Amino acid sequence: MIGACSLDINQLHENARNGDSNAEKKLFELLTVRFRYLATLRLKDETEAEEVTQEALLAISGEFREIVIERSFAAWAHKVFENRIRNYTRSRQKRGRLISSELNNEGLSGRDDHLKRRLLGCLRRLNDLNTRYARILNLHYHGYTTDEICEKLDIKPGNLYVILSRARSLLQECMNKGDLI
Amino acid sequence: MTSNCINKRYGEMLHALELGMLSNEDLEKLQIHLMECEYCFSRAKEFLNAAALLRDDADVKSVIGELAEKETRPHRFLYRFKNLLWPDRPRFILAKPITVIVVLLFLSFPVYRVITSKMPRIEQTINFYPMRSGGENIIYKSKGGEVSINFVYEWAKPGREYMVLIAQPGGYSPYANGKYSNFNDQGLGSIVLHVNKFKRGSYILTIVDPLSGDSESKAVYYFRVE
Repeated sequence: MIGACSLDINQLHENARNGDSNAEKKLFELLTVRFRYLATLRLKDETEAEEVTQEALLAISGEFREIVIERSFAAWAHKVFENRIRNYTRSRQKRGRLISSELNNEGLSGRDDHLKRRLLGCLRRLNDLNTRYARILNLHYHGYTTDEICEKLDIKPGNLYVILSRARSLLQECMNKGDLI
Repeated sequence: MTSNCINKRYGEMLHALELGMLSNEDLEKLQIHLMECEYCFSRAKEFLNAAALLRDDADVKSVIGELAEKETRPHRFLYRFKNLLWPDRPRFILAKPITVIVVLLFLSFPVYRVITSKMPRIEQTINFYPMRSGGENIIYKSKGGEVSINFVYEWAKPGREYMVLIAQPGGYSPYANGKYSNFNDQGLGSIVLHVNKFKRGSYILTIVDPLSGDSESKAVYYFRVE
């Protein structure tokens, strides 16, 4: 596919397993940024996300040379990461800690007022073009599952993802350029 | 950054991931996709903070709620009414054409009424022929409507003008036309009058050629209105 490029994390793993130290370094750089991103998304706290990321990377670094790959290295690495996320979430629940955003809206979302103002402005402009985005989000905030939202709006899940994806593109464009074109 | 997603099916799910709307199965697949697709991962990183606001910020949620309400509240009734007549997904496939037909009929009905109101509604007909004996011609006011009076004038030439008069002996005249010119080739003429123009009593229908001084070119017919 012209212009498309698989990161080929799986190839990096293969090279690293064969002793290529550059490949190994690159592999762990890629894993770090990705795990950090996914952990932040799931845990909503950068400190906790970093903790989980380091745990997952530690587990992978000890096993990546000897593992038997069933699907792909990416799938295996993800499984390791996912287990760490689940363990962390379970232990946090046992300790009775709430997610920070539920406590006082700090963490990622509370820090940038300028970003928030821009986002709110773009949401209002977007609503003139795409009213379903606000409806979908509002239903999601009220606890409706994706299937329930689809049933309510009489659309398929694939359509819902497309609506979200297009709205996201417009939002991102608006926030980058200051307006919708 | 590369310019394309390696699998657009997963790429379209990115925002759903950011908002926390994916099922566990799709979540796993998309997370693995992000491990492999540099394009999607770059997009995700760029939007990280904005996505967090959309997911968690109370002010943003409040604005979204207002926008969603604004979209639904004023139009809810209109949307339902519109959907009744013109459904987005008609269960009955003929709903739309039937709606169109009904609307067209409804709109055309006043026009139909205007047209038909101008057309005479003939309820009674009386015919006059020269030298024909028979029963009297009677118009009945009780029948209402229009009366068609057909008469033969033997000397009539199509296109020429004649004097036609319908009058009572006492002088009342529901019809008088000094320039009647509607005779056909057979000398047959016709007048349509509403029955309300007639009073009860006897009438004389007289046809005269104004250019002829001959009294034999005058036709006279008698009838009654009851």
